[in-house]
Amino acid sequence: MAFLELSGLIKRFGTVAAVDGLDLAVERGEFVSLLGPSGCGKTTTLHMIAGFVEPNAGRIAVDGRDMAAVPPNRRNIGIVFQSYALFPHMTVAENVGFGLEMRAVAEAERRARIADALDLVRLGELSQRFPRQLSGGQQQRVALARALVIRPDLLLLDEPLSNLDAKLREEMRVEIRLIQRQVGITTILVTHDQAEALVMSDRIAVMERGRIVQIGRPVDAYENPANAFVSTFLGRANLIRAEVVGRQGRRLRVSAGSVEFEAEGEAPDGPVTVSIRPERIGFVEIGGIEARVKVGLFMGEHWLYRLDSPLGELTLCQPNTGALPIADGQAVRVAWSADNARVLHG
Amino acid sequence: MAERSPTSHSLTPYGLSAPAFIVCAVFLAAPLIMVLALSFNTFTMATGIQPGFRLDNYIEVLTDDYFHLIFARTFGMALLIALIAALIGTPEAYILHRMAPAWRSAFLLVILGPLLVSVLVRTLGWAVLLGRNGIVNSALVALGLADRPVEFMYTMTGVIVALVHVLVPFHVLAVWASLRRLDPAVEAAGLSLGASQFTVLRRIVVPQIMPGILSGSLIVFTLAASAFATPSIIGGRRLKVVAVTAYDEFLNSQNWPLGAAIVTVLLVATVVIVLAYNRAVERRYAQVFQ
Amino acid sequence: MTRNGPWALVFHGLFVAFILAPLVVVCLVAFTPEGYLSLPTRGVSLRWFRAILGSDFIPAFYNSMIVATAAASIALLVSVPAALATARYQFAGRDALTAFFLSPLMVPHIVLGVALLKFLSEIGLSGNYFGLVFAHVVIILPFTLRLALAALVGMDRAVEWAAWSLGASQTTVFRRITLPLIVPGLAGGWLIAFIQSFDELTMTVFVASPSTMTLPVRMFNHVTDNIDPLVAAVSAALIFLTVILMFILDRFCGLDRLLAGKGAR
Repeated sequence: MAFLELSGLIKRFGTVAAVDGLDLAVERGEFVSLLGPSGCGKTTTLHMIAGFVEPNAGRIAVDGRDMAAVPPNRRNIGIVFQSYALFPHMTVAENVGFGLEMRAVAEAERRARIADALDLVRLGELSQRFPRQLSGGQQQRVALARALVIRPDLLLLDEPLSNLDAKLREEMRVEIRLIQRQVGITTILVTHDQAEALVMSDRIAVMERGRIVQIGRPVDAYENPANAFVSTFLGRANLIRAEVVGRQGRRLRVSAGSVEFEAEGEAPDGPVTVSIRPERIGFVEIGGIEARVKVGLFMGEHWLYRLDSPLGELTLCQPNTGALPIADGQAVRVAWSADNARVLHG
Repeated sequence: MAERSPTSHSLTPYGLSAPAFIVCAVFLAAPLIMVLALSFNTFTMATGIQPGFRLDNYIEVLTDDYFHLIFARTFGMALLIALIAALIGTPEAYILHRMAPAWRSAFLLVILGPLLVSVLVRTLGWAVLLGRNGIVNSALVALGLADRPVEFMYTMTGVIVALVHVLVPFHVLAVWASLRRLDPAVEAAGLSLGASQFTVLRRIVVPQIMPGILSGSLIVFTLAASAFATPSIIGGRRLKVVAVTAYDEFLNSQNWPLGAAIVTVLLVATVVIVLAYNRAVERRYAQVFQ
Repeated sequence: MTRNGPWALVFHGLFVAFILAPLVVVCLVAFTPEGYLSLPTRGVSLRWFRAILGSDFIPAFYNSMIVATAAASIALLVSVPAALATARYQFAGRDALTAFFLSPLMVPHIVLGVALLKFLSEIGLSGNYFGLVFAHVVIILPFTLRLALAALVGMDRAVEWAAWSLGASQTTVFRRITLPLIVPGLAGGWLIAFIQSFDELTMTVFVASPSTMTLPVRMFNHVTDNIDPLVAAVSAALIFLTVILMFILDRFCGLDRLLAGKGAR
């Protein structure tokens, strides 16, 4: 039995179902991301786990215990909000100590645990400051310390990094992940940032319209997207409409326009969508298909080319090796290996 | 985000609203109902107030030329005041809007601050200014603009000047509120596209603050129509408005039923005008209001 | 920042002069040494300010203080829970209830005055503080309610949720988190309600009795008889007090936001 179990969860606001039959099982100590665009129901799911929003149907169980009748203040769940939601009229130490105070932890132990929690997020010296005197990154750490100091059964992170600037965000991804491993706490992260989900999670649950459309290890979700939505939401993908014309086990022969090529996957004969990651397409001297460079975009560590091809517009990604880029308008030939062309369901 | 139990029929919000509800029900709804009932009673000097359900008072208010004059004077005056307040308040709000922030907050305080000063005090100021030997008259005579003191007290002009002064801050406030919602980049965009300052004002600014101008005018109009202190001090008994008439019926003639009918007509007329105005404005400016 | 042209500044100067003229004149006249209304051209005197002390304006001032303090406090006490209900709960009749609480703004004070005169004499409450105070509570309730609502709505909901999930009960959340955070808004609401109540004349004229007569009513009765330097001195003193309160209010939350909705609607 999993540590956190969500089954058949439904939440309607008016006539709109924000969460529409969601199932999820999270093991003890696991870090799972709910990834999806805004309005996909991920935050509502988090609020139902925390108890702020009551589901219309379905069950939430933590460690085998049904949470339906448990109010938020008895659930022992730590949350970090997108806005951090620090108490502006309390010092850092008072913020972190609030949960301990509510649990009637004795003064001496409280002080020790506040100090430990602030050390964990490397904010020991700032305990007497007020939130408005801290930078965004520091506020974020206080929020994390406040959530962890109560030794919660579950840590919920609601878009915790979206208010930080790009560089700090990348640092905090790693830092939160390391702290989570160190503490060993079961964690649910809600995010719309695919890079964040890929870096931080043990497993990613991609959500669309109130449901989980795919769940798996980051690398599996990236390599074997369940559908076109996942393939474009997790990384970039060239989506090609094609027709299955022959098969040999999982290796299918598909035709798109004037071109026929091989792809990997399972599908009945008829129209399918083939997904090819831009970094899996390469320039070749001979073979492959003919194409023309529309524009080459410099991205720092790689070049992104937009090509006109018989398959329509293709995007191609090349590591920046220092070699001269290919000029706009040049005729080229491009190719990919059959196992990098994925036939998608539906 | 919805509260935890939006579906379970919790009584908590009703309990929380109960004290305010009781206060409003007892001290607002009940008195208004009573005054409505009172307006259907009758009164004679000999018998005092007689209970009953008769329309005599309304017939008197609605057919007597004396009351026609008073109602026409009150609403005509209110209309004129709203118009003048709009004509001077709107440009002033825009000028404030274009000031440097430090000046702007200082002058906002100067212009809105008088709203906190008792209406009575402000009216008194006008009585001092406009009196026969007041400062305005001394100045007019000294400058040779008038050969003898002009009578402002107990005239329409005096009442209008004083009421414009009392109420124009409301208009500035309403326009200022809609100017604050204006994105300054929109004006800059207009200028960068080649529009003159005047064209930007006419085509870009005014249409966006129109709701503020219109709601400001409505506020000024309704407050002017029911004003009591200023018309009673500056206008006196010679230039009665509805509020002063009702005051006299209640506290001097002791004819409460007639006074009740007068204020009921005032209340109904005000509510009808407000609702009609809002409907007309909302239809016209539906997009801007959204 | 675009600048105002010279004509705009001239207009602005005239407008400000128009706004300030009556207030300045009242203050000047109050310093006259003469026994009649005149500008203090022959020296400045405080005789009229001294005259206030022995006059019956002083008990009226105390009455106004009592009524305004009580009314503003009661209005705040009943509007905070009502604002909580509106801001934090979804329930049938919510909008109607809010409209009802704000409706005193729509009713002209002259109408409220006669209605309360009739009502209070009917239930035998005329002439005492109780009726007068609650009459004032009704007319200032919209102000305290709006400011309490604005404070609650302007607060980050997640802050309450954070405290809740950290183990605080709903009452603790309100006492330890919500209340401290809305106090500035409530203080502004109390002060503006106090001023509204203190200045109210039109309704109070009908409701106050000789023993509960407030300062504006006393002044009104005085002015209808004669306008003299004494009442000018009282006015000047009131202007002075208002200016002090105004600066406090502006510090608290910005005058323009506080006054929004002072008018009808």
